Amino acid sequence: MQDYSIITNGIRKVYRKGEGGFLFRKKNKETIIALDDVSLSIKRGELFGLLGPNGAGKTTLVKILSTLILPDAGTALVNGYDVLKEPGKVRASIGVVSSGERSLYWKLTARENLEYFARLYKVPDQVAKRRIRELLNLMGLEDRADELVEKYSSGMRQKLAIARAMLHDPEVLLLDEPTLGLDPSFSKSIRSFIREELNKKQGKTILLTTHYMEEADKMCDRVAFITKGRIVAVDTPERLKNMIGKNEVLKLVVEELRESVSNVVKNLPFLDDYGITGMEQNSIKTIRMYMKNVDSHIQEIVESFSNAGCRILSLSVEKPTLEDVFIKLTGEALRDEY
Amino acid sequence: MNEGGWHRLNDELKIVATVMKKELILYFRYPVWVLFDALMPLLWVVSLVIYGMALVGSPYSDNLARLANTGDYVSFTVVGMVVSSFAYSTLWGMSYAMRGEQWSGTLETTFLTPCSRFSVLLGKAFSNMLTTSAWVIIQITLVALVFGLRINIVNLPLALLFFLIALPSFIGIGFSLAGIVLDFKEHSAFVNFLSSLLGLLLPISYPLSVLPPILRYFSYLLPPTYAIEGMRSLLIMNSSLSELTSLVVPLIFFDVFWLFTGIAIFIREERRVLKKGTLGYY
Amino acid sequence: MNIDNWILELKASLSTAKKEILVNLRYPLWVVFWAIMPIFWLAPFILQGRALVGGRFSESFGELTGTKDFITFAIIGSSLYAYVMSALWGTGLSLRREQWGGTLEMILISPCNKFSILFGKALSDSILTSFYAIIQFALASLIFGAMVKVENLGFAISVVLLMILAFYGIGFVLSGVILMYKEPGALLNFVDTLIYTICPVNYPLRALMLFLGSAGYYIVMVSIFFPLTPALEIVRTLLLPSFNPYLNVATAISYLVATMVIFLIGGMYLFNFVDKIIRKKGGVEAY
Repeated sequence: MQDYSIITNGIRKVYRKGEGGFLFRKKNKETIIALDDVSLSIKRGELFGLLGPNGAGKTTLVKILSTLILPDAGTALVNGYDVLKEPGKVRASIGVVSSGERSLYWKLTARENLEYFARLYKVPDQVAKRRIRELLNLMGLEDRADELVEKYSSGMRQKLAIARAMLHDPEVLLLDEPTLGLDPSFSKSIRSFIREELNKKQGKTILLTTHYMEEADKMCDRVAFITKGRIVAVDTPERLKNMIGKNEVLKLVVEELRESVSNVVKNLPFLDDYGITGMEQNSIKTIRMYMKNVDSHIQEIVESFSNAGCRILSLSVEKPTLEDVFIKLTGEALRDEY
Repeated sequence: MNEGGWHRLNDELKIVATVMKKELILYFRYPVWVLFDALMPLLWVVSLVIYGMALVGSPYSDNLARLANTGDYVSFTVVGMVVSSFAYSTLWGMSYAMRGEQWSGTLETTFLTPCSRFSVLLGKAFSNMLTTSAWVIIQITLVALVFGLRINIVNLPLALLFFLIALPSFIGIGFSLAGIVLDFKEHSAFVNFLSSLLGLLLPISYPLSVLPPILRYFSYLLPPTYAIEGMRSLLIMNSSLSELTSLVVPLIFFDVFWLFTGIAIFIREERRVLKKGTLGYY
Repeated sequence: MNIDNWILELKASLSTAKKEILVNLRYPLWVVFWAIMPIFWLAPFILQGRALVGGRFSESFGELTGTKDFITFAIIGSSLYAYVMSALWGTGLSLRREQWGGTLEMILISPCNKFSILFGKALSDSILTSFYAIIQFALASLIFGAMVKVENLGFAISVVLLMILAFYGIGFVLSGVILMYKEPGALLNFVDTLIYTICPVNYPLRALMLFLGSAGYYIVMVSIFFPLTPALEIVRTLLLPSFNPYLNVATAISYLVATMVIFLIGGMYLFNFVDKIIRKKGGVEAY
């Protein structure tokens, strides 16, 4: 048991839709299943990625683990404590960073923010003082520590949010889309900080949710795929990618004019597998085809599509990614692309 | 006006009616608010009247009779409250509704339509007046039953006419405020401040003569002051025609002044916000 | 729970109060607003009184309350009423404000007790409100004149402190309930006006009973269970010469203490209840 920092067992959460407060509740029975029988075990010291598209249930799971939402069924242990029975001990064991930069007080300075949260986390004053100095240093914020957070850039705010999550030196970090909305170069530095400093050097167990497959692929020890509230696969990025085999990927974006693209793809005998994504009402489809020796087949593929009346918008040859595995397993893209 | 002009006017009037209908439907979608809206002015009148009763021990004040030609302060206060609630609903109604649309994110879409913004604003103002009327009637009936009211019913049509004369100036101020809140994000502080100020300057529960002279000058700059005094003269005091004329003339001046100012301010603020690109923000 | 932990909770609470005051002071316009505005709400009542009785003394008021000076009566009423407004618009909206700001979840996932946070918020509100109430009392005394028995001021202040504690309970309940409302303004406005009407802020309890008949009697019966009413009765007895309260001081004190306990415990209980509903329904963001 001690080898696992987070264990969830059959977690289920259903939201009932319908606005209105508790005085005039509307009789609207529409429900959304946010999480359906989610069972995960995350090892101590592991950097575990939860990869899935928007609305897959990632944030709900993080909120259940941080005691903000009560599950309808199932149990969850964080650092050995039950989220339902010992929420106080769970909260003391976790640090949470969410996407969006509004999780700090903009009218306080960085130092005032950290001092306040240190008190809420019951960090003794002497320890807090040292910790705040260290963290500001580590994040490169010491020069601007006494400026109001409203004057910060979004990247600096995210750094401060990470510092805040680290104040009480928690066993477990829950990072909910920590790079969402940050510019690419800054995202990169945050990612390597999470991996190298927080996970490898300080040995934190980290649950990271993301819908960027590069993030999951490059950073995580293990990745779980989540879609529509269900976990569909859990493994190391390498082993997940092996599900595609030693294939290459030909990515084709076409406009479907006459014939359905799936008919075209079905008639290509040399494909090991394929995935088609795209909006239902939209005639533009993205087709990812998995095969050996792509070079020798390109000509034939292009001709087949042209003959079927499809207009080819772009074509590229890629290495298989986690996204390919995700599409293969769920038939769904991580991001809406065409 | 030529044929095209009439058509245009007809179209805009239809828009006013459509906006009114939409606002009323939305209003009644929140039954709790409706209940609060209906009860609140009633509570205010009751507390003002009870306070008066505690002070003079009867519904008649000799001192008020000396100051204002009538000692019946219950009727005096009720007329003051009624006219001021209409004034408030026209003054704030439009800016509140604008704010609401900024909140819900529908303001930009509304402004994308080719209809005149002022038709939209008027629709909002009139729907507000309609609901206010409903609550006011309840309010008057209950006060009349509990405390007794002596109102000169014969003059009611004249009083309504008088109110119609005052209305354009209220609408003009409403336009100005709606324009200002387009870009002024501290809306609630602003409204709170202005309505508290009006609560002091308008002769709602007392005649202007008890205000310090310097404040009285400000009162005379506010069109609702004339509306309250005029309605009061007609409904409870039987004042002379010359007294009424002295109220109507400044009101007509305010009508012209505020309509033009209101339209100008709104157009200028809208252009400013469009330039800054902050129309949908709140 | 050990003593160290209590100290840490207390520190969290005080830090919350400090943070709230810091944030408040960084909106100087609002500070000025709250310091100045109450006088605008009080003045119309005093002017109305002057118009109706022509001075600061009313015979009829004297018969009802024992004191003819309705102006000092109203100044005391509105100064104490400031604390009701602070419980509603300050503590009541405090969690909603954190929600708007995006910080609500961050404070709720800290291991410290939710009531330490709420208590800290209420504490900062009562400190700020006391500051505003003193300004209001001073300004009103300067403009309209107030005649009070200064020697009883200390005792009166300790009664006000009891009342403030009772209001903390109201603030707790509201702060939870408001998280479930989309537009809490209408609810708060209504509660605000209702309390203003049924409590003896500007007029005595006897006026309600005299002029509203049996309805007035029932209103008074409700009103005395709201801590403001017994507190006003005691404070006026202490400060106004020859004031004749409806509740005698001993009764009023027992009501005040009893309601304080009920409101505080009830407030905490109800807050927990609402908190659970919210977390069941899908979290503090899903309102």
